[in-house]
Amino acid sequence: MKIPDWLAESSPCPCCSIGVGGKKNFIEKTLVEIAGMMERSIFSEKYASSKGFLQSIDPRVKLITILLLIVTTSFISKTEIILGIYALTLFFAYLSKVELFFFIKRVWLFIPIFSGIVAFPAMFNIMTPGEPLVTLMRFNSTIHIWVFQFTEISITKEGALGALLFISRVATSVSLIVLLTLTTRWADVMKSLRTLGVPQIFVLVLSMTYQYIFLLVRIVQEMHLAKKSRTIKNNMTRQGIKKEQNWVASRIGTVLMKSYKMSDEINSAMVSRGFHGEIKSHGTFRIKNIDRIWTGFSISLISAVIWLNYLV
Amino acid sequence: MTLFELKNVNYLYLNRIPALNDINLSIEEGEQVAILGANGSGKSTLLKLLDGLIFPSSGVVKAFGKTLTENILDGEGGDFPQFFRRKVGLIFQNSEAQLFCPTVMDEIKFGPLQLDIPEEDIHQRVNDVIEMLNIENLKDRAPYTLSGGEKKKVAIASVLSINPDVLLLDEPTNGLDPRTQRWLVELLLELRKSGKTIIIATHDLGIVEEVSERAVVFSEDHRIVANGEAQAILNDTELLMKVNLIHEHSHRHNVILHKHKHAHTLEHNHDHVL
Repeated sequence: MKIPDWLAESSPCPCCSIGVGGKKNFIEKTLVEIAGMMERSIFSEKYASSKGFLQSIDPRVKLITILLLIVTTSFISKTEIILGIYALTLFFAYLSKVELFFFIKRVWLFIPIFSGIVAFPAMFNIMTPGEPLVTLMRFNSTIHIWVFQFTEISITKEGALGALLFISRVATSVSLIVLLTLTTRWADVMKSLRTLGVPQIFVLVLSMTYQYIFLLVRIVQEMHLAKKSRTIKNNMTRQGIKKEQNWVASRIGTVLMKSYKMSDEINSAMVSRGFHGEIKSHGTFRIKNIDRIWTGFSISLISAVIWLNYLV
Repeated sequence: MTLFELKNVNYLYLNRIPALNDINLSIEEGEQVAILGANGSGKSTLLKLLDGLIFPSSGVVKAFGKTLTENILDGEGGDFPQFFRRKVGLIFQNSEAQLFCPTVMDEIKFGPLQLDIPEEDIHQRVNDVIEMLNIENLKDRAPYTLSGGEKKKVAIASVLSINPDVLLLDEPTNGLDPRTQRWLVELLLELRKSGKTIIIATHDLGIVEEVSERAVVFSEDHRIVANGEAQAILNDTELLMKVNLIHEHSHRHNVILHKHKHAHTLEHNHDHVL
């Protein structure tokens, strides 16, 4: 084989005069963050495999009791009871060897963004009239905006309590679900869904989706790295960014085609091993005494909070 | 007994790109056959046809005396689909596509469960296969966290637990390190002793003479150009060069695998004595 002359030449290397530095571009940052987030939050199973209290409970029992607790939390109207349940989640997180700081951070990181935005307007007298706690602005005449009428803008006691109730309810529910997913392997959570009557095919599709997300992220990352290794110019001008965006858009199509091909292969692999439209499986979970105790405790807790909320 | 019989089989990928061209082939029970051919010569397509996953564009594929059609394998009723899936197992080239269950344990159980094998037997088989392949430490792991070699082992385990009489392997040594390749050859030799029919599609000539008695060679225009004793075919340098399976820099002189250094000119002009 004869290689052309230009291929045999090496380019000059003015190493000392080459500039270095610059920032990572947006695609790279996004991909690295997505992959890192997925690995950290979903795939690590660090806490699920450690030997703590909640980890020793049968996943089916855990799923059902935690879901019942969440439903109960959403019916409770006394903030102090909800905060009590929240305190219990912290206690169980501690018993399950989950680092408390990590647990609290995981729950509270998103609450201000999602529920905070919803609860914020409800604190003011415009949305929730009542006894003012802090008055921010006073007007000389009544202001009419759409259906609202007001003479001042203030945070009301009713509004603040309502927002507190709402946020504590969300925080407690999120804590319960985070506790479930941190202390249970995802595969077991999926299998437990069967006990709630979720159809097998749905569970299978869900658990397969979950695994192949990982693969997909890796394909995208490799594609990006392959492009990066052949890209010379770091073009952060307006036109350059537009080109990058176009490239991303066209790659989305390629990834779609790749994943379609992959799904075809997976289907063949399933058929080859006897899949015939209906998945057969059998559970391997066994109910132990600790599960009975936990169930008893959960039922008593639910009864107690309902009694405290409605009857006392 | 003839297990597979292919008559004038053609297969068009996406209805226009030819993947198999006028294939006539029969495979007997207990045979070890290597399907040889360069990349894209149609080896994988042939294995999928033999496993009843795709069907020929024209011609007939018979397995266990029955013509394989979509109706006979996917239709409702009849015991043939279950019988066929118990008898024939395919180990895919891409282990990632083959491993779709949440854990290695579930993966190995999947096949036997779908084929209604009794629960106690499944338990026994799964444990035996795990022990045999020495993957005890992987059984609770998720397949996507495994290395390439581990994935291949689990893919093999997931098919062996069905205990098929016919094993179809698609490029089994691809991407495996030399030690795992050796392990695979030894496993195949053991399976051969137990009377299994083993059909391997490969371009790794190194393993062919060890694990196969017969070789079928595909040309790059997707036809069978040779079908005979593996050893004789491996020694036919001219044929292997013609189908692009060997290169003048790496080939075999009778029983000695011969590799040239790359910076040379004179060494090309040596005789090929058989």
